[in-house]
Amino acid sequence: MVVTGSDLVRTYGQGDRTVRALDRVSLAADAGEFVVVRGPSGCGKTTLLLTLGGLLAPQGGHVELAGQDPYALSPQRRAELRATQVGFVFQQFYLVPYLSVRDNVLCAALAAGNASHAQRRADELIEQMGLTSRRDHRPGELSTGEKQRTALARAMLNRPPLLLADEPTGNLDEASAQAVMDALRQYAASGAAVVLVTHDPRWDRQAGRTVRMEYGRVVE
Amino acid sequence: MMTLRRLLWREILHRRLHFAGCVLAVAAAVACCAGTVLLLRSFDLQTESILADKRQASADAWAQFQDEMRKDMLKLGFNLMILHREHNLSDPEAQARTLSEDYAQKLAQAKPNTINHVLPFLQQKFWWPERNRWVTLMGTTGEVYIKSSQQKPMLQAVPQGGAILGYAIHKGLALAEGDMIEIDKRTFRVRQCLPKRGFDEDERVYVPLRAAQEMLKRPAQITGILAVNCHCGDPEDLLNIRSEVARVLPDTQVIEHHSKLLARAEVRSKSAREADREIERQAATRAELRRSRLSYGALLVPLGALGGAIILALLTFENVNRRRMEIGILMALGLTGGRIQAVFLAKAGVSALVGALAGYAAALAGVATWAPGAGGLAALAEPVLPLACAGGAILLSLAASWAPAQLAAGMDPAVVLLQEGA
Repeated sequence: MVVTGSDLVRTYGQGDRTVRALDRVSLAADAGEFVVVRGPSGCGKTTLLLTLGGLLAPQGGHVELAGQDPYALSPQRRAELRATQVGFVFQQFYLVPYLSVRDNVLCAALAAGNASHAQRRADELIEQMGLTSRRDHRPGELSTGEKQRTALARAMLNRPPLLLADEPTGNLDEASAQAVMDALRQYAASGAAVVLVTHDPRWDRQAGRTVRMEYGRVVE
Repeated sequence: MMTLRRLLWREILHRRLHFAGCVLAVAAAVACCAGTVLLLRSFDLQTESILADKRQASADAWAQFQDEMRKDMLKLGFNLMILHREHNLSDPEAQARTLSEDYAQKLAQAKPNTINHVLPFLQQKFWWPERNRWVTLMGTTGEVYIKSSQQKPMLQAVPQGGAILGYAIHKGLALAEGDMIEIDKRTFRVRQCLPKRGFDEDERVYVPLRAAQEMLKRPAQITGILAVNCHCGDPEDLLNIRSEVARVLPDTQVIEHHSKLLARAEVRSKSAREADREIERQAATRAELRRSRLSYGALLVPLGALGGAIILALLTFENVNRRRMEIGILMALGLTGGRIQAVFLAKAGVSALVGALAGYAAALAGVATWAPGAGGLAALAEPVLPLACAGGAILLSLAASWAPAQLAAGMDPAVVLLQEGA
């Protein structure tokens, strides 16, 4: 397994206002697998994604990423693990506003450090995402679809074995959303594990496996 | 190639106003510090120059005065009259206090450097009964030799049995050289009739000292000693003659005949001393002004540095806050907190260097405006100041940016991304 989350627990707030975002959730994704985690807003999908990706330590349960427990590592080692093993795509893109498309994609290489291969790989991904004419443009000059494809290229730059995508199509039109989904499917087909969280049932049929969540629990 | 340097440079170009604010904060702090140092240095240079000019002018004037005095004295010489200490000069009618006759010998034997001729005399108002009038009887022995008997005498002694008459005497009594006169039943031959000199000298009758002592009933006594044709190489010597004579002849007083020369020397000496005091006063005033400026600078420099640091810290906090999303995604991508901190500290370093350059240039411009002339010299006199400014600015910027950079490094990317996505 590329990633395994077992009995994950995560709560927010205190006392009466405690919200159980993850209530003993278990999820695993193997290489080449495209898993869709679907559920309504606030069901804990994003929390699950961040926890599997080594960003948010669970209050209970265990995560194993590339054979290691990321939360048992030092913050620096955990950051290095994320840099080499995980790619993130978010609904809000989170592109650096003052960098060009190419530089945004190359940001992933800042942490991973494989600089020499990164430039060629970045150019390939930009071409693959249909962004060649936009490579020197800044995020403010891109459409939402182009922004998301840029974020996707950034997530794929280091060829991470695990790609975590949080509502990547939430802000996109139909065509752009489909393009992103195609890219994710292709990436999974190339041997990586892809976990996509969404509330949109349209993508169930494109997934190898679909997991439904409600109120912090896996229900299906 | 994407590097932290490129990331830094792109961010600076993107947020130019923010960077300009950081540079201005550093520049203001550096301008305060460097400007204060340069202004103080230029003030010191000006003070040194002004005081050096004044001291040189005073020294030149004093040297010129000494030269003039030496020339005057070489030409003129001057005379001293050595009298008993209690001799009342303000009351010529009073009975004069006399000195022992051997005082003249003592003075001559002491061989004072500045006195060339010593003439003891006994002088007193005397009623000339044969002519029924008051005269000033003056008994002299001629010169007491200081160097040797071969010394050319300044004044010949009155020959035994002879008398020399002042102008008013021989004119008033119709006497001429060769006439025989009787004074207090003693007979003298008129040896010389003096030309008109003015004052009481025209009323004098000169006779040998011994005769005068007998007539005035003052055996072995003299009224005083005339030290004639004193030459001084230096005006200060002139002022010191009194003490030199006083050491040889205690209980005496010394009166200068050519008081105009002495007065001039004293006035000039006083002027020179006053000029020196004025220079010292000016030096003290400028030192006080410098202390005042230094205390002002001691307030301005830390205030400037503190103000710059506070503004820089606030600007960096604002920058960190504005870049929360960027920090979050970079950390999510695997950038460590240390590298995030390095990005902010590097930006602080760059703004410090540019700010130090701008601040130092502003300080130079200010000094050139407020202290024209000395400003450039002050800058040359402080060659390490630009380096100190750069180093100080970097330290200041790093210190001011440390806390916000730490804040950025300590951000939890999950929290940031959850909040940004909310």
